[in-house]
Amino acid sequence: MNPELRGREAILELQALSKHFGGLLAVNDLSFSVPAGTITSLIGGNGAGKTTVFNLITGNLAPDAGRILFHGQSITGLPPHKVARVGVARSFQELRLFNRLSALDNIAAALPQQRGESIVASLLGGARLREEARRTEAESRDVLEELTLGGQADTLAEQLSYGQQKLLALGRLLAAEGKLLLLDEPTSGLSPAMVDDFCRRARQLVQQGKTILLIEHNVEIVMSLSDWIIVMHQGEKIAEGVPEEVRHNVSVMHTYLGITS
Amino acid sequence: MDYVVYVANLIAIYATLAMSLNLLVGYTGLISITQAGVYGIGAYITALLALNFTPDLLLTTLLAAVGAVAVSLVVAVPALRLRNEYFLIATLGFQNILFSVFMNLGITGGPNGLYGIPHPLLFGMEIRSGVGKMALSIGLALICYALARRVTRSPVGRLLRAVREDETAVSSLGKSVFRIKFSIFVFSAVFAGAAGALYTYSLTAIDPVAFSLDESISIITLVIVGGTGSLNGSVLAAILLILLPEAMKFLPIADTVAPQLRQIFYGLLLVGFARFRRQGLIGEYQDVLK
Repeated sequence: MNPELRGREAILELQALSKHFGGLLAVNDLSFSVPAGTITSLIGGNGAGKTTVFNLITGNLAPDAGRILFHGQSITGLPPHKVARVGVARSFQELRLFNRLSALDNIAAALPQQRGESIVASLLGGARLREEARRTEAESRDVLEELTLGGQADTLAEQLSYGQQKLLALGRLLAAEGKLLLLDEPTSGLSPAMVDDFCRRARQLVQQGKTILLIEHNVEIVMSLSDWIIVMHQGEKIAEGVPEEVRHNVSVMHTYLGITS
Repeated sequence: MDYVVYVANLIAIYATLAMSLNLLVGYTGLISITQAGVYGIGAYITALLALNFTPDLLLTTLLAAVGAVAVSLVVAVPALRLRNEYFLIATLGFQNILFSVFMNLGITGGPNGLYGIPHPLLFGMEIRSGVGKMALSIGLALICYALARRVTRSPVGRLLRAVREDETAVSSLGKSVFRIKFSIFVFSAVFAGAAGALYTYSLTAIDPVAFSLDESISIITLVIVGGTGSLNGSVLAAILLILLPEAMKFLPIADTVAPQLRQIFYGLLLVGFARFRRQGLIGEYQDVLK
């Protein structure tokens, strides 16, 4: 690791992580760490195990072996909602929006720690709850405005265009207030202008103190955005480094960039 | 006149059952077919307490609700860990277990059920008349409507719908899907149990057939025909779907065929709505888009 990144605390650390599905070794003895305050990219061809790594981190899958540390604390084996509560937010390749909820409700449902989300509290009601509901709505509208979705607040998520849906998914992720953001192919299917917009937002988030772990297929984006790159192939880490090092790594060119020398 | 009152009473009870089930099926996406069993628990607890202890309305209804919740939790703990069709199959299993229990247990009177159940006492006053009992059932339906409306329009209602749309996404936001499902299960069971109590007092005799799988399917038919995710729809469907088969009684149809005709009628409605009008009579879509 280069000196600048070495000095940083690892917000996330994977130690000898393995996961198999039947006979397939999806993730094999994988170790890497994500330095805090960086954009770290996880790259590799289809089936390299990238999304599986995300699912292991977020507790959607349980590892067969190995440990996952967040800020030095083990989060291995925690259920997804507990992993999210310690500060890991994720977006999904397939978006997983709440389709038949309005854009506003998609964001509102993501805001953490609402007392009104308990049945007993909502039956009792009271001024505090009404105040909370007002605050939730105002914050949600702010998030939508910031994403240029202000005019779509009452539109059902499923009725938005694909680009708008991608933005809404990002908004939901931001509303969840995670410290580490796991983004699974956030730019796929976006127009070049929207890709630029995404890159600008990603850099902005890092400046605000977030850390991003990114799965991305677009090589240009990976190279321009990443502070650190981890290359996976068939469940194993085959290389890591700053973008320049990875670009020059021959085996990477073979397996990922598709360049034969 | 008595007949009209009886039908109105039945409509109120079924409206309560449909609303309580709609919270699970329509709002949370939990397709449960144990509702008749849970309702039966409330009915049997009330009958046994009234026969052996006291027909005090508030006390027995409260205990009926508590019993329904308790049984519901036994169903919930394993079943809520399953998704979609697996959840449905698990609730089907529990429905059949509950029906077998009602059918075979000594204290439930087996297939004959329990009869000669005394009229309820409200603050020491006996409620004998059909009108009085109808008023109780309508009162329960109104309470159920008011509370369910409050829940569904609050942040917890939004979370229920979010669970229906995508559980994985909800848990990725730091919210426990199990806790949400669990609490709505309890809420739903309270009203199913209370409806069972009022059913027992209305008929003063109960038998297992009223709490069979057929009955569970009838209740879910109300939810689907009325519109999943719409409380108004559940009430409307209860009115229409109780009235129509009742009206058929005035047609020259033999008594032996009538109950089967009702099932056929419900079955056709279920298929028809699933095919041609998924949102039901009053769908959530209209609510959202209005």
